[in-house]
This record gives sequence, C-alpha cells and structure tokens, in this order.
Amino acid sequence: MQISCQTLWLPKHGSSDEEYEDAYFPTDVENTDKRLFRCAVADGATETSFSGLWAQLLTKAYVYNDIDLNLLADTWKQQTTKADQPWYVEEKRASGAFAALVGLTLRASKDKRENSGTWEATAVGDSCLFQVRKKDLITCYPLDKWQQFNSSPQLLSSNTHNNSAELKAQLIETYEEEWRSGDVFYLMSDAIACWFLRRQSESDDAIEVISKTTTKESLTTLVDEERRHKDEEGRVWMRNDDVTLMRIKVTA
Amino acid sequence: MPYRAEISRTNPSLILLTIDQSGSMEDPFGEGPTGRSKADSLADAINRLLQNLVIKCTKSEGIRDYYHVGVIGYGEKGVGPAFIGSLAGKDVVSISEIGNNPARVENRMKKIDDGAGGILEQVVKFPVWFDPVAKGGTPLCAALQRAKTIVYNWLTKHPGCYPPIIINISDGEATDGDILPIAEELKDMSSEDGNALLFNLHLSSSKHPAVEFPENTAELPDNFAKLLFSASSTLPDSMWTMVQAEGFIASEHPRGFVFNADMVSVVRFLDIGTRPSNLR
Repeated sequence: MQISCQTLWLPKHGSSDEEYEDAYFPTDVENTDKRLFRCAVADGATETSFSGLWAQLLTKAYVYNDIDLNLLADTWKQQTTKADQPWYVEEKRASGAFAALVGLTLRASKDKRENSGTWEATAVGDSCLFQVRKKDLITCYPLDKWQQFNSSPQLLSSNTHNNSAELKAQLIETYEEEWRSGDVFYLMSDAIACWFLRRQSESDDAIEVISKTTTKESLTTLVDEERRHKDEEGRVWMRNDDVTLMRIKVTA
Repeated sequence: MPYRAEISRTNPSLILLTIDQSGSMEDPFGEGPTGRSKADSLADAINRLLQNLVIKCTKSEGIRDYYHVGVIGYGEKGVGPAFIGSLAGKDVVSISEIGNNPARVENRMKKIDDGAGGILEQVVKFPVWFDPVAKGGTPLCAALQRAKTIVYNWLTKHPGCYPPIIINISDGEATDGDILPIAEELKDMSSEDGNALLFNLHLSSSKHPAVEFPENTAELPDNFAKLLFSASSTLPDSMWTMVQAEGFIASEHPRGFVFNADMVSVVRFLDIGTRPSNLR
C-alpha cells in the first residue's frame, strides 16, 4: 500500500510553540510503499505539568507497538526529576502528567491485487480518528457526537495509580475495520475533533473544509476564525486549545 | 451566556479572600480535634486553598498567572491586607508571587493509599502564608466594602475577565452592621462575562454536621449560617456541572456556601483547560 501522512499543528492562542502539549508520530511521510503503517496523536492535559513529554512518549510507544505504562512512567519520571525544585513543581509532578491517545495501524492486504486492506485503532480519552471515503464520513472513533466532549475526560497518567483497570483495558481494545484504496484517515486532538463533528452535523461541510486545509497557513486561518465564531449561546465553535490534525492517505 | 470567558495569562481573573481575624475566632471549631480554634481552621483553610490554586496554575516551566489573588483580613486592626512574610502589606498579587513567597514551608505528614489496601504516611510540603489570628471585633461590612473597591479597580482594568470570585471565611458574627446590602452591591458588580461571585465558608463552634453547597437554609443550624447563605451567590451552570461531577449531592440551584467544611473544592471547579477526571 502507498501511504502519505501529513501533520499540521498549532498551539493554544496566547501560548508559544514551545508550550504546545499535543504530540504526534511519525513525522511526515510521502507516497511511501508500506506493508504496515502505524501512527498516533496524543493530547497532554492543560491542567497537568510535563504533559507534552508524556504525550510524546505515548505516541512513540504506540508506533513502536510497545506500550508498557509502567516503563513509560519510569522514563517520564527520570526525565522530569530535578534536584531543588520549588515546592509547587514537586507537588504537581507527583500527581503525574495526563494525556489522551489515538493510534492507527494500517495493514496491506496479503494479496497484492486487492484494492483494500485492514486497519485497527486504539483510543483512550477524547482524541479521535475519522475515516473518509470519497466525500463521506464513514467511521468516527471513539467519539461520534460533538456533545460527548467535555473538559474532564479520563486520560492516561504517568502516575500509574491514576490508571484504573478500565482505562488500561481501553489501551488493549482495538476497533477493526477495512480500508479501501483512496480512503483518507484523520487523527485529531479534541478541540478540532469536536469542531469537526459539530460542523459536519450542523453545516455538512467539515470534510470539504478539512480536505482543503493542507498548509500551516490554512490551518491557522481556519482555527483563528472558528475560535472567534460564537453560537447563539455565546459558545465558541472551536475551544482555545492546542490543535493537531494528522491526515493519512492510503492507496492500494 | 455568562461565565464562559476563558481564564488565561492574557485574560486573568481575580480571587479575593476576606478572612475573619476577630476575637470570636478563638472559640473552638465544630467537631474537630480538641484545642483547635476557628482561627486555626481558618489558617489551614486559607493555606490549603492557596496551595491548591498555585498547584492548579503550575506547569512544567513554573506558575502561569491565570489568577491574581488578594487576601483581606478583618479584626482588631480594622480591615487590611492579611499576607505575612514578604507579601505583607500587598492588596492583590499574582498567583506566581504567592507560590514563590510563602512565609515558610512546613513538612507535614499525610496519609496516602499504598495501592495494596494499606495506608502509608508520607512527608509533604505545606506552604504557609497565614498564621491564626483572633483579636478584636468583626468589621465584616467594612471588609466587604473594601472588597468592592478592589473588585471595582480590577474590573476597570480587566473588563472582559471571568468574573471575580470573592470567598469570605467567617463565623458570620458581624459587629458593624447588616452585611446583606453590601453583599448585594458586591454581587451586582460585573465584567462583560457576568456578575462577581460571592461565596461564604462559615466556620462555627456548632457540632452540627458539615453542609456543602445547599439550595436553601433547611439544613443550616443557626441564624449566622442562614445570613451567610443569604449573602452567597448561586453557582453558575458550569460550576454546578463540576459540583455534580465531583460527587457532591447538589440541588438544582446550589449556593456558593459551605458550613464547617472545606472550600478547596472550589479550586477544582475553576476551569483553566482540560482537567482529567482521574486526576486525584
């Protein structure tokens, strides 16, 4: 199968690029022949510290098919422990970093004449996967309605005491489906995923808008506009948060 | 709809604490350990509240100034800034100044779950900004008047902010008049995002069980509690949702009022971005 993968991202308005706490892996891939392709997006929670690092560790572990939360938590601890930190940095670090994760694995068909293959996804929290075939949104995972998003999801923590058995089970569960040549997948962090579902359900043009969003400039224009755009209840269409948009095109 | 403004470093909000330092605070506190006064409980409540607010605003690189905080004491010396240590004399300071300038940091023991069904004792840092004070009368009306001035000045400079939150911690026994008219004036002040919110934490010598975020006065034991309840704002919808999510049994229109309980939960209701529901 031929894979193209492109990621566009923006920090929260008012934050610098260094303060961006989403993560994605791998970096861009263009028209490359693969038998297996794995990619992931993670979203570090605003209210926890060192969550960008935790999000990076999770995405790489997914792509390398090696998610061991205890080992990842040890790595996170080693990289964040410093002597003589102020009391508040120590306290905050002790409660752990938190992040949502969505990962996608695409597999080529064993029969090279086939025009399709299989895919599977893993998701914990509110980062989402969308599968688009021609102009139709055919899969949304794990959330499929914009009303399901809120500011307090269950997320993977670097303090392993915070990860319930139910949460760990979500890491093992996979959603499996088929891809066909020409399908496009999107992995999105929560703010843009919520906007995408709402815009699609209310204006039916989110797929068209997002398919034209192919540069950092066009993403900036879209996000700036939607962060200002308010509904009749005074809610903005896109919450001010880090934005990550990964696009994966697959052809047989 | 009000109470939707984003709280950020470019659009910070104000939290103003007014704290009772009068002689009546020397009386014993509720059902707590023998020898603990209301003033001891107040000092703990305020230190814990500030500690939690600092931690909430802490990121990898340090503290982000999502909030500015003022603490006004009222008691023997009248009404004035109540910080001690290097912040003494300051009305309103940024949350990073507070985090970096406790008067001292004590080591205290905390019981934690060992993950195997047992309890461990762990040493934790406990920053202290206030020590117990209990002298003189209770000029609560004057304190609320001072709060009005501070809130007015803040709103002039930050007209689009999330509305200021005023948390009054008191035994409710004002010695300088009726607090209700001034409380109403305070709650009538507004930013473009809504009216200022006045919450009350009532510390009492009564052994009546704790009450948190009630809708009416039915469960309250005395007139002081009922008075402070009447002076308290109804929680905005967004906070009401959090009150329910945090497991408080809250009615449809709970007030920002707690009786002999902890106001630290209010810090959890402040929305500065994604807060994982499994963050302890």
